[in-house]
Amino acid sequence: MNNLIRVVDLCKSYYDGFTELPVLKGVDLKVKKAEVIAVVGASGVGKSTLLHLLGGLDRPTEGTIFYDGEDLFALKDQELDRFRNEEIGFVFQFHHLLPEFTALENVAMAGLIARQTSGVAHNRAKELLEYVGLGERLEHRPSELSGGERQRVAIARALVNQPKVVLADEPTGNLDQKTSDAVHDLLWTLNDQFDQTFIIVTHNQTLAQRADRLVQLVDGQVYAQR
Amino acid sequence: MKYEWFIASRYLKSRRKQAFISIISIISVGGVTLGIAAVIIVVSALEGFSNGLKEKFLANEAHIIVRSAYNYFPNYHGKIEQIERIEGVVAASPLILSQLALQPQGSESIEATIYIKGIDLQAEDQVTGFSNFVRNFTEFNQSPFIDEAHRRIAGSETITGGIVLGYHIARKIGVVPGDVLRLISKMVPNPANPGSFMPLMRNFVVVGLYQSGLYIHDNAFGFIDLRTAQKLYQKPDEINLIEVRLVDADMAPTVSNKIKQEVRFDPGLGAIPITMTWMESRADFFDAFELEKIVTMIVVALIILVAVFNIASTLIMMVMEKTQDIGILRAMGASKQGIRNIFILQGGIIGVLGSILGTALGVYVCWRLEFQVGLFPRWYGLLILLVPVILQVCQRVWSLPINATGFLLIWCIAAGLALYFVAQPIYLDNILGKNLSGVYQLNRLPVKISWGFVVLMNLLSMATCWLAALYPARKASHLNPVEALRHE
Repeated sequence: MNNLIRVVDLCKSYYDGFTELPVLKGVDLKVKKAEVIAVVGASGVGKSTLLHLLGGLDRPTEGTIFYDGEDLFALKDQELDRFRNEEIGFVFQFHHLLPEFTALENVAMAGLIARQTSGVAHNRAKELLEYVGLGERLEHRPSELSGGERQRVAIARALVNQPKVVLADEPTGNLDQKTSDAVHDLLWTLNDQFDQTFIIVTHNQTLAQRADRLVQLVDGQVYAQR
Repeated sequence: MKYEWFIASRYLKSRRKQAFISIISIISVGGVTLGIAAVIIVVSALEGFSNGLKEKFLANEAHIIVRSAYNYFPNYHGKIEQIERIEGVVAASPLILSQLALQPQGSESIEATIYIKGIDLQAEDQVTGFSNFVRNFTEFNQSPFIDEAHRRIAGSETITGGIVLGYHIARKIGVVPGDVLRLISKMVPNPANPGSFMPLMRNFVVVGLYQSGLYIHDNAFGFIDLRTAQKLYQKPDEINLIEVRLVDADMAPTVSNKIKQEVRFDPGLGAIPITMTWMESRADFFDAFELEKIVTMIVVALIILVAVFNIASTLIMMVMEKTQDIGILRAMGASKQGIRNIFILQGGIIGVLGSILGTALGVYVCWRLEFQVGLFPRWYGLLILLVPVILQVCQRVWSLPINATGFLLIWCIAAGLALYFVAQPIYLDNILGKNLSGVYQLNRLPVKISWGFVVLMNLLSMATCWLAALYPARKASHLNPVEALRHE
């Protein structure tokens, strides 16, 4: 079976004045279509950095990532923007919803960025919000939603442009056990239903065990895979 | 531009996280509004004032003055006819202009020195409309005042003729029509004692007061009959000036050149005439106004500059406040240009709103300053507000095809018209508590809105608002999305 994503010798260093701080030191990884992969590892090991690079939000110091055999970082900035918009959905630990906008508007935003008409984007957003069980909360702002609801809005937002890959950075990191389980169930339902690839950074053991594959990062490299 | 517009307008309205952000956007709009309004009002008032004075000048001054290189010149009738034949000339009149001292009868001393114009009444009326500014006046040398003065001082003194005195001079030296004045000329050779000089003295009766409304005229001139003046100076059939009135005062330079080309004085009198247009003789005055306008504009432009700094700081704060949002938007695929557009749009919205409101405010105040007393009691203007009210009622009943935007427009138009009709001129005398009309007879502040200037100021302010937004917008678009996401 073809690999959807191929990460080759990925390195990323940050520069703090004159000192080089290597975070990723040659990560190699292959991801198949519709896989759910859990990325685990100690804090500061570079899980989020890997996720940002996978999403084309940052450029690596060395190495590259191939999506469907195409070199992601050969793309120009604008093409990368479009790639993020169309092919990637991000879910962050702290929901990161836009506080001034309602749940519906937050979800529709990615569609608007894709230059869909307001009507199309809002209809699609409404559909997805109903799907994640927030049909009654469309006009609420993030501050009026509970933690679990916010995270479900964030997931709906990640899915709105039907991306190939959803990148989640500790999606249930600050939710209680019960809410976390509900969000996890939602993720798996979505995976079953839409055949999307999920790469999830997590500290949550249940989530990690439930994933198709487990990737452990140690010292900026892939230490073990299951 | 769709999502950029969506986000930009929401950010400006937002008051969720930090209440003062949206207040600050209101202040930013207000700053631009005030700046634009101030520029429009000040420049319109200055323009109106100089224009009002110009009109007054042109109404009772000659548009061109023609003289020879030497003082007096003969054979002026032919020259006047020649000048009157030139295209664009309404009339030309002969004039003897000289400076004389004034001694009212009964006074021991010379009270004032004034310019005496010896004029041909019919010709002068066509050029400067002289008679319009003198009440109850028909002739210099035939007046009940002269007859009465003759009876009064019969025998002791001779009376040469009548004089019309500038209103303010008369007030200053305390004479009224009917009083006798002695006019004293500069020294002339004394025929009785060759080698010595003597002043010429003649008695005149005040037969009228000249009140043009221009202080500088009413405080400087006296008028006597041309032939009397010629006799007084012993220059029979000679004059020293020709005054010319034009159909269009702005044509003065052209006509002035033509006069120089066509009219010739006798040889020995400096053949080519010397001309002076009203623009040249009043240049100091209008130059001063221009200068004042420029200085005022610079000062007022500072207000707009303050408003622009205000916008820049508002937007910089907005960028800091919204750093995380920017990171999220970038993660969702918004481009750098998209992020930049969001913040430039905010500057643009502030600029456009401020400019529109400022223009409305400025023009409204100008109207108030200028508005003529209306045809009907001004409160009736409020009746216009009934139109949208009735329309709204009708819509409730029969559901007319007017949407919310349509009603907003109708309300705005109605409110604007109502304000226009309710507006009342601001009388300067009421504000300042003193009578300014004495100086320029402009008791209303004349206002002249130059629409070209208004449009230019609007474009300028929108452009500067856009410029003010450039730096914050650039900063926002250059944020590293990964760092922006980590930003707390």
